[in-house]
Amino acid sequence: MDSITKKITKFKIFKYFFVLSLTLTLSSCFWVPNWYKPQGYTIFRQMPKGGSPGFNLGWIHGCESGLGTQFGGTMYMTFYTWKKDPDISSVNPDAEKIRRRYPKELKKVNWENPADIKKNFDDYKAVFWSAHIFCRHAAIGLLQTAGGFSPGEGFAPPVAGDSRYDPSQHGIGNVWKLHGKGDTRIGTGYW
Amino acid sequence: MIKILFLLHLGLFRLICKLLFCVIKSRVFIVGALACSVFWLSSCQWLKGASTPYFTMTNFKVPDGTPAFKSGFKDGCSSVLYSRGNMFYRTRYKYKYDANMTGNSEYRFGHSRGYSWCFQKVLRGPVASFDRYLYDSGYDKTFSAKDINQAWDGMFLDGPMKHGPDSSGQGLNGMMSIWQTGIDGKSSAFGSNPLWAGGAEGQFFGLW
Repeated sequence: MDSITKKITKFKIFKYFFVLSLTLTLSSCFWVPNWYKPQGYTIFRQMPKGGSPGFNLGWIHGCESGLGTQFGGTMYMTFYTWKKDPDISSVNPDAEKIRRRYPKELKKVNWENPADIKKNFDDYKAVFWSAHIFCRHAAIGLLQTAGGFSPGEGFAPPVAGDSRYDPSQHGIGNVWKLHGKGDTRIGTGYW
Repeated sequence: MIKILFLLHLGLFRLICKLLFCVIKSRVFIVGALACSVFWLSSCQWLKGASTPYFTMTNFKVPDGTPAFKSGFKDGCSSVLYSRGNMFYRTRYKYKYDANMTGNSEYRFGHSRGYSWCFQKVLRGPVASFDRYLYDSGYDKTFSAKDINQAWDGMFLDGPMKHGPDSSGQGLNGMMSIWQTGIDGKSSAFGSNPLWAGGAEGQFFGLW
Protein backbone atom coordinates (compact mmCIF):
# COMPACT_ATOMS: atom_id res chain seq x y z
CA MET A 1 0.00 0.00 0.00
CA ASP A 2 2.80 2.29 0.99
CA SER A 3 4.66 1.68 -2.20
CA ILE A 4 1.57 2.53 -4.27
CA THR A 5 1.10 5.79 -2.35
CA LYS A 6 4.74 6.62 -2.90
CA LYS A 7 4.41 5.93 -6.58
CA ILE A 8 1.32 8.15 -6.85
CA THR A 9 3.06 10.92 -4.95
CA LYS A 10 6.09 10.59 -7.19
CA PHE A 11 3.87 10.75 -10.27
CA LYS A 12 2.10 13.85 -8.94
CA ILE A 13 5.39 15.59 -8.28
CA PHE A 14 6.59 14.62 -11.72
CA LYS A 15 3.35 15.89 -13.27
CA TYR A 16 3.59 19.24 -11.50
CA PHE A 17 7.22 19.54 -12.42
CA PHE A 18 6.43 18.73 -16.05
CA VAL A 19 3.62 21.28 -16.24
CA LEU A 20 5.79 23.91 -14.58
CA SER A 21 8.69 23.30 -16.99
CA LEU A 22 6.37 23.35 -19.98
CA THR A 23 4.80 26.62 -18.85
CA LEU A 24 8.15 28.24 -18.27
CA THR A 25 9.52 26.99 -21.59
CA LEU A 26 6.52 28.16 -23.59
CA SER A 27 6.22 31.49 -21.82
CA SER A 28 9.77 32.30 -22.87
CA CYS A 29 8.61 32.20 -26.51
CA PHE A 30 5.73 34.63 -26.15
CA TRP A 31 7.78 37.80 -26.34
CA VAL A 32 8.86 36.84 -29.87
CA PRO A 33 6.38 38.04 -32.52
CA ASN A 34 4.95 35.28 -34.72
CA TRP A 35 6.64 32.62 -32.60
CA TYR A 36 4.03 30.03 -33.55
CA LYS A 37 4.42 30.50 -37.33
CA PRO A 38 6.95 28.82 -39.65
CA GLN A 39 10.46 29.82 -38.60
CA GLY A 40 8.74 32.50 -36.50
CA TYR A 41 10.62 31.93 -33.28
CA THR A 42 14.05 31.40 -34.85
CA ILE A 43 13.83 34.42 -37.15
CA PHE A 44 11.89 37.02 -35.23
CA ARG A 45 14.00 36.63 -32.13
CA GLN A 46 16.87 37.94 -34.23
CA MET A 47 15.30 41.36 -34.43
CA PRO A 48 18.04 43.76 -33.32
CA LYS A 49 17.62 45.13 -29.85
CA GLY A 50 17.77 48.78 -28.84
CA GLY A 51 15.95 50.14 -31.86
CA SER A 52 13.28 52.82 -31.90
CA PRO A 53 9.62 51.71 -32.03
CA GLY A 54 9.62 52.65 -35.71
CA PHE A 55 12.69 50.48 -36.29
CA ASN A 56 11.09 47.50 -34.57
CA LEU A 57 7.84 47.90 -36.49
CA GLY A 58 9.72 48.28 -39.77
CA TRP A 59 11.75 45.18 -39.07
CA ILE A 60 8.71 43.08 -38.21
CA HIS A 61 6.76 44.33 -41.21
CA GLY A 62 9.74 43.79 -43.52
CA CYS A 63 10.32 40.29 -42.24
CA GLU A 64 6.67 39.30 -42.47
CA SER A 65 6.53 40.67 -46.01
CA GLY A 66 9.69 38.78 -46.96
CA LEU A 67 8.46 35.51 -45.53
CA GLY A 68 5.16 35.96 -47.36
CA THR A 69 6.79 35.95 -50.81
CA GLN A 70 7.15 33.09 -53.26
CA PHE A 71 10.59 32.48 -51.79
CA GLY A 72 8.87 30.55 -49.03
CA GLY A 73 6.13 29.08 -51.18
CA THR A 74 2.59 28.19 -50.23
CA MET A 75 3.39 27.25 -46.65
CA TYR A 76 4.92 30.58 -45.74
CA MET A 77 2.40 32.54 -47.82
CA THR A 78 -0.36 30.96 -45.76
CA PHE A 79 1.03 32.48 -42.59
CA TYR A 80 2.64 35.72 -43.75
CA THR A 81 1.77 38.45 -46.18
CA TRP A 82 2.77 41.92 -47.41
CA LYS A 83 2.81 44.34 -44.50
CA LYS A 84 4.53 47.55 -45.53
CA ASP A 85 2.55 50.48 -44.20
CA PRO A 86 1.75 52.84 -47.08
CA ASP A 87 1.14 55.77 -44.72
CA ILE A 88 4.48 55.52 -42.95
CA SER A 89 6.19 55.16 -46.31
CA SER A 90 4.33 58.16 -47.66
CA VAL A 91 6.22 61.35 -48.53
CA ASN A 92 3.83 63.31 -46.37
CA PRO A 93 2.72 60.90 -43.62
CA ASP A 94 -0.35 61.53 -41.52
CA ALA A 95 1.09 61.11 -38.01
CA GLU A 96 -2.24 61.09 -36.21
CA LYS A 97 -3.61 58.37 -38.44
CA ILE A 98 -0.51 56.25 -37.89
CA ARG A 99 -0.57 56.85 -34.15
CA ARG A 100 -4.13 55.56 -33.99
CA ARG A 101 -3.25 52.55 -36.13
CA TYR A 102 -0.38 51.39 -33.93
CA PRO A 103 -1.33 52.39 -30.37
CA LYS A 104 0.71 49.57 -28.86
CA GLU A 105 3.64 49.28 -31.25
CA LEU A 106 4.38 53.01 -31.47
CA LYS A 107 3.38 53.86 -27.90
CA LYS A 108 6.83 55.11 -27.01
CA VAL A 109 7.05 57.58 -29.88
CA ASN A 110 6.93 61.18 -28.72
CA TRP A 111 4.05 62.34 -30.90
CA GLU A 112 4.52 65.93 -29.73
CA ASN A 113 8.01 66.02 -31.23
CA PRO A 114 8.12 66.14 -35.07
CA ALA A 115 11.81 65.20 -35.06
CA ASP A 116 11.12 62.03 -33.10
CA ILE A 117 8.21 61.14 -35.37
CA LYS A 118 10.43 61.64 -38.43
CA LYS A 119 13.21 59.55 -36.92
CA ASN A 120 10.84 56.69 -36.22
CA PHE A 121 9.38 56.79 -39.70
CA ASP A 122 12.86 56.98 -41.23
CA ASP A 123 13.95 54.00 -39.15
CA TYR A 124 10.91 52.10 -40.37
CA LYS A 125 11.81 52.75 -43.98
CA ALA A 126 15.54 52.16 -43.49
CA VAL A 127 15.23 48.70 -42.02
CA PHE A 128 12.18 47.43 -43.88
CA TRP A 129 13.99 46.14 -46.98
CA SER A 130 16.93 44.80 -45.07
CA ALA A 131 14.57 42.65 -42.99
CA HIS A 132 12.57 41.73 -46.08
CA ILE A 133 15.61 40.45 -47.95
CA PHE A 134 17.00 38.65 -44.93
CA CYS A 135 13.76 36.88 -44.09
CA ARG A 136 12.87 35.78 -47.59
CA HIS A 137 16.39 34.40 -47.94
CA ALA A 138 16.09 32.66 -44.60
CA ALA A 139 12.92 30.97 -45.84
CA ILE A 140 14.38 29.76 -49.11
CA GLY A 141 17.72 29.00 -47.48
CA LEU A 142 16.16 26.62 -45.01
CA LEU A 143 14.05 24.93 -47.66
CA GLN A 144 17.04 24.46 -49.94
CA THR A 145 19.09 22.86 -47.21
CA ALA A 146 16.23 20.66 -46.05
CA GLY A 147 17.48 17.65 -47.95
CA GLY A 148 20.71 17.06 -46.08
CA PHE A 149 24.31 17.28 -47.10
CA SER A 150 24.12 16.20 -50.73
CA PRO A 151 23.47 18.54 -53.65
CA GLY A 152 20.00 18.63 -55.08
CA GLU A 153 18.29 16.97 -52.14
CA GLY A 154 16.65 20.08 -50.73
CA PHE A 155 13.60 21.84 -52.03
CA ALA A 156 14.33 24.04 -55.02
CA PRO A 157 11.94 26.54 -56.54
CA PRO A 158 11.29 26.34 -60.28
CA VAL A 159 12.65 29.10 -62.43
CA ALA A 160 10.82 30.83 -65.26
CA GLY A 161 9.72 28.38 -67.90
CA ASP A 162 10.58 25.27 -65.88
CA SER A 163 7.08 24.17 -65.05
CA ARG A 164 3.44 24.92 -65.57
CA TYR A 165 0.84 25.23 -62.84
CA ASP A 166 -0.77 21.88 -62.22
CA PRO A 167 -4.00 22.16 -60.19
CA SER A 168 -3.82 18.49 -59.21
CA GLN A 169 -0.59 19.20 -57.35
CA HIS A 170 -2.06 22.05 -55.40
CA GLY A 171 -1.41 21.44 -51.75
CA ILE A 172 0.19 23.04 -48.72
CA GLY A 173 2.93 20.44 -48.77
CA ASN A 174 3.80 21.31 -52.34
CA VAL A 175 5.57 24.45 -51.38
CA TRP A 176 6.35 25.84 -54.80
CA LYS A 177 3.73 24.27 -56.97
CA LEU A 178 1.06 26.91 -56.57
CA HIS A 179 2.27 29.49 -59.00
CA GLY A 180 1.64 30.67 -62.48
CA LYS A 181 5.25 31.52 -63.24
CA GLY A 182 6.12 30.35 -66.71
CA ASP A 183 2.54 29.50 -67.59
CA THR A 184 1.82 31.16 -70.91
CA ARG A 185 -1.86 30.23 -70.64
CA ILE A 186 -2.42 32.81 -67.92
CA GLY A 187 -3.91 35.95 -69.39
CA THR A 188 -4.38 34.38 -72.80
CA GLY A 189 -7.96 33.19 -72.24
CA TYR A 190 -7.00 29.54 -72.75
CA TRP A 191 -7.06 28.65 -69.04
CA MET B 1 55.08 -22.46 -36.06
CA ILE B 2 52.12 -20.14 -35.55
CA LYS B 3 53.07 -19.80 -31.92
CA ILE B 4 56.62 -18.77 -32.82
CA LEU B 5 55.32 -16.23 -35.33
CA PHE B 6 52.90 -14.87 -32.75
CA LEU B 7 55.69 -14.48 -30.18
CA LEU B 8 57.93 -12.83 -32.73
CA HIS B 9 55.19 -10.33 -33.59
CA LEU B 10 54.53 -9.70 -29.94
CA GLY B 11 58.23 -9.09 -29.32
CA LEU B 12 58.46 -6.79 -32.27
CA PHE B 13 55.39 -4.87 -31.12
CA ARG B 14 56.82 -4.42 -27.63
CA LEU B 15 60.11 -3.25 -29.08
CA ILE B 16 58.38 -0.66 -31.28
CA CYS B 17 56.31 0.54 -28.35
CA LYS B 18 59.40 0.92 -26.19
CA LEU B 19 61.21 2.84 -28.90
CA LEU B 20 58.22 5.12 -29.45
CA PHE B 21 57.89 5.70 -25.74
CA CYS B 22 61.57 6.63 -25.53
CA VAL B 23 61.27 8.96 -28.49
CA ILE B 24 58.14 10.65 -27.17
CA LYS B 25 59.71 10.95 -23.78
CA SER B 26 62.85 12.56 -25.10
CA ARG B 27 63.26 16.31 -25.09
CA VAL B 28 64.39 16.31 -28.68
CA PHE B 29 61.03 14.94 -29.76
CA ILE B 30 59.08 17.44 -27.68
CA VAL B 31 61.11 20.38 -28.99
CA GLY B 32 60.77 19.05 -32.54
CA ALA B 33 57.02 18.64 -32.23
CA LEU B 34 56.67 22.14 -30.84
CA ALA B 35 58.78 23.60 -33.64
CA CYS B 36 56.71 21.76 -36.26
CA SER B 37 53.50 23.04 -34.72
CA VAL B 38 54.77 26.61 -34.73
CA PHE B 39 55.92 26.37 -38.36
CA TRP B 40 52.67 24.73 -39.41
CA LEU B 41 50.51 27.24 -37.63
CA SER B 42 52.48 30.19 -38.95
CA SER B 43 51.52 29.19 -42.48
CA CYS B 44 47.86 29.43 -41.54
CA GLN B 45 46.19 32.43 -43.16
CA TRP B 46 44.21 33.28 -40.07
CA LEU B 47 47.38 33.57 -38.04
CA LYS B 48 49.31 35.35 -40.79
CA GLY B 49 46.60 37.93 -41.12
CA ALA B 50 45.92 38.16 -37.41
CA SER B 51 45.27 41.86 -37.76
CA THR B 52 42.86 41.25 -40.64
CA PRO B 53 39.30 40.60 -39.54
CA TYR B 54 38.10 37.40 -41.17
CA PHE B 55 34.76 35.76 -40.71
CA THR B 56 35.15 32.59 -38.72
CA MET B 57 35.33 29.43 -40.80
CA THR B 58 35.27 31.37 -44.05
CA ASN B 59 37.80 33.18 -46.16
CA PHE B 60 35.66 36.29 -46.14
CA LYS B 61 37.68 39.34 -45.36
CA VAL B 62 36.31 42.67 -44.24
CA PRO B 63 37.52 45.27 -46.77
CA ASP B 64 39.20 48.50 -45.84
CA GLY B 65 37.04 51.48 -45.15
CA THR B 66 35.74 53.71 -42.44
CA PRO B 67 34.76 52.10 -39.13
CA ALA B 68 31.07 52.64 -39.93
CA PHE B 69 31.45 50.98 -43.34
CA LYS B 70 33.36 48.02 -41.89
CA SER B 71 30.85 47.58 -39.14
CA GLY B 72 28.02 47.62 -41.67
CA PHE B 73 29.86 45.20 -43.94
CA LYS B 74 30.40 42.75 -41.08
CA ASP B 75 26.78 42.93 -40.00
CA GLY B 76 25.50 42.50 -43.56
CA CYS B 77 27.75 39.52 -44.18
CA SER B 78 26.76 37.93 -40.89
CA SER B 79 23.11 38.29 -41.84
CA VAL B 80 23.44 36.50 -45.17
CA LEU B 81 25.62 33.78 -43.69
CA TYR B 82 22.63 32.94 -41.55
CA SER B 83 19.92 33.36 -44.15
CA ARG B 84 21.63 31.47 -46.98
CA GLY B 85 24.09 29.42 -44.98
CA ASN B 86 23.66 25.84 -43.93
CA MET B 87 22.94 24.67 -40.40
CA PHE B 88 26.55 25.07 -39.38
CA TYR B 89 26.54 28.75 -40.33
CA ARG B 90 23.13 29.21 -38.76
CA THR B 91 24.53 28.25 -35.40
CA ARG B 92 27.46 30.63 -35.82
CA TYR B 93 25.88 33.73 -37.38
CA LYS B 94 22.65 35.71 -37.15
CA TYR B 95 20.94 38.81 -38.45
CA LYS B 96 22.75 41.95 -37.37
CA TYR B 97 21.86 45.58 -37.89
CA ASP B 98 22.92 48.31 -35.53
CA ALA B 99 19.66 50.04 -34.69
CA ASN B 100 21.51 53.22 -33.77
CA MET B 101 23.15 53.48 -37.19
CA THR B 102 20.07 53.72 -39.38
CA GLY B 103 20.86 57.36 -40.10
CA ASN B 104 24.46 56.62 -41.08
CA SER B 105 24.70 56.25 -44.84
CA GLU B 106 28.16 54.64 -44.65
CA TYR B 107 26.88 51.97 -42.33
CA ARG B 108 23.87 51.32 -44.53
CA PHE B 109 26.09 51.16 -47.63
CA GLY B 110 28.45 48.76 -45.87
CA HIS B 111 25.57 46.58 -44.71
CA SER B 112 24.17 46.36 -48.19
CA ARG B 113 27.58 45.64 -49.73
CA GLY B 114 28.44 43.06 -47.08
CA TYR B 115 25.16 41.27 -47.59
CA SER B 116 25.38 41.16 -51.37
CA TRP B 117 29.10 40.28 -51.51
CA CYS B 118 28.81 37.44 -49.06
CA PHE B 119 25.55 36.33 -50.71
CA GLN B 120 27.45 35.74 -53.93
CA LYS B 121 30.25 33.95 -52.12
CA VAL B 122 27.94 31.78 -50.07
CA LEU B 123 26.16 30.66 -53.21
CA ARG B 124 29.18 30.27 -55.47
CA GLY B 125 32.05 29.47 -53.17
CA PRO B 126 34.94 29.12 -52.91
CA VAL B 127 34.22 28.58 -49.29
CA ALA B 128 34.55 25.42 -47.26
CA SER B 129 33.26 22.41 -49.14
CA PHE B 130 30.47 21.68 -46.71
CA ASP B 131 28.45 24.63 -47.88
CA ARG B 132 28.86 24.01 -51.59
CA TYR B 133 25.61 22.09 -51.47
CA LEU B 134 23.75 25.26 -50.64
CA TYR B 135 22.89 25.75 -54.23
CA ASP B 136 24.04 22.95 -56.45
CA SER B 137 23.51 25.01 -59.58
CA GLY B 138 26.14 27.37 -58.27
CA TYR B 139 23.98 30.45 -58.57
CA ASP B 140 20.40 31.48 -58.81
CA LYS B 141 19.37 31.17 -62.42
CA THR B 142 16.59 33.69 -62.05
CA PHE B 143 19.19 36.39 -61.63
CA SER B 144 21.27 35.54 -64.66
CA ALA B 145 21.27 37.58 -67.83
CA LYS B 146 19.02 36.17 -70.48
CA ASP B 147 16.92 37.25 -73.41
CA ILE B 148 13.54 38.49 -72.24
CA ASN B 149 12.03 37.19 -75.47
CA GLN B 150 13.07 33.66 -74.53
CA ALA B 151 11.69 33.87 -70.99
CA TRP B 152 8.40 32.26 -69.99
CA ASP B 153 8.51 29.82 -72.88
CA GLY B 154 8.99 32.66 -75.35
CA MET B 155 5.78 34.38 -74.33
CA PHE B 156 6.80 37.67 -75.84
CA LEU B 157 8.21 36.16 -78.99
CA ASP B 158 5.44 33.69 -79.81
CA GLY B 159 2.59 35.13 -77.79
CA PRO B 160 0.68 38.36 -78.20
CA MET B 161 3.72 40.11 -79.63
CA LYS B 162 4.49 37.55 -82.27
CA HIS B 163 4.14 40.13 -84.97
CA GLY B 164 5.89 43.31 -83.98
CA PRO B 165 4.30 46.70 -84.58
CA ASP B 166 6.69 47.18 -87.44
CA SER B 167 8.60 44.84 -89.68
CA SER B 168 11.92 45.33 -87.91
CA GLY B 169 11.47 42.78 -85.20
CA GLN B 170 9.24 40.60 -83.14
CA GLY B 171 8.55 40.38 -79.44
CA LEU B 172 9.33 43.19 -77.05
CA ASN B 173 12.19 44.38 -79.19
CA GLY B 174 9.82 45.05 -82.06
CA MET B 175 7.62 47.14 -79.82
CA MET B 176 10.55 49.11 -78.48
CA SER B 177 11.94 49.75 -81.91
CA ILE B 178 9.00 52.13 -82.50
CA TRP B 179 10.34 54.23 -79.65
CA GLN B 180 13.81 54.06 -81.02
CA THR B 181 13.20 54.72 -84.66
CA GLY B 182 9.76 56.26 -84.75
CA ILE B 183 6.84 55.19 -86.94
CA ASP B 184 8.59 56.51 -90.03
CA GLY B 185 11.65 54.44 -89.15
CA LYS B 186 13.90 57.49 -89.03
CA SER B 187 13.18 59.80 -86.12
CA SER B 188 14.32 58.55 -82.75
CA ALA B 189 12.96 59.42 -79.33
CA PHE B 190 16.00 57.90 -77.61
CA GLY B 191 19.68 57.77 -78.35
CA SER B 192 19.62 54.01 -78.02
CA ASN B 193 17.12 51.24 -77.63
CA PRO B 194 15.78 51.69 -74.10
CA LEU B 195 14.89 48.03 -73.77
CA TRP B 196 18.40 46.77 -74.21
CA ALA B 197 19.97 49.58 -72.24
CA GLY B 198 22.13 47.15 -70.31
CA GLY B 199 24.86 47.34 -72.90
CA ALA B 200 24.48 43.74 -73.93
CA GLU B 201 21.83 42.48 -76.30
CA GLY B 202 19.37 40.40 -74.35
CA GLN B 203 19.57 42.32 -71.11
CA PHE B 204 16.27 43.78 -70.08
CA PHE B 205 16.82 47.30 -68.79
CA GLY B 206 20.31 46.16 -67.91
CA LEU B 207 18.99 43.92 -65.18
CA TRP B 208 18.24 40.48 -66.55
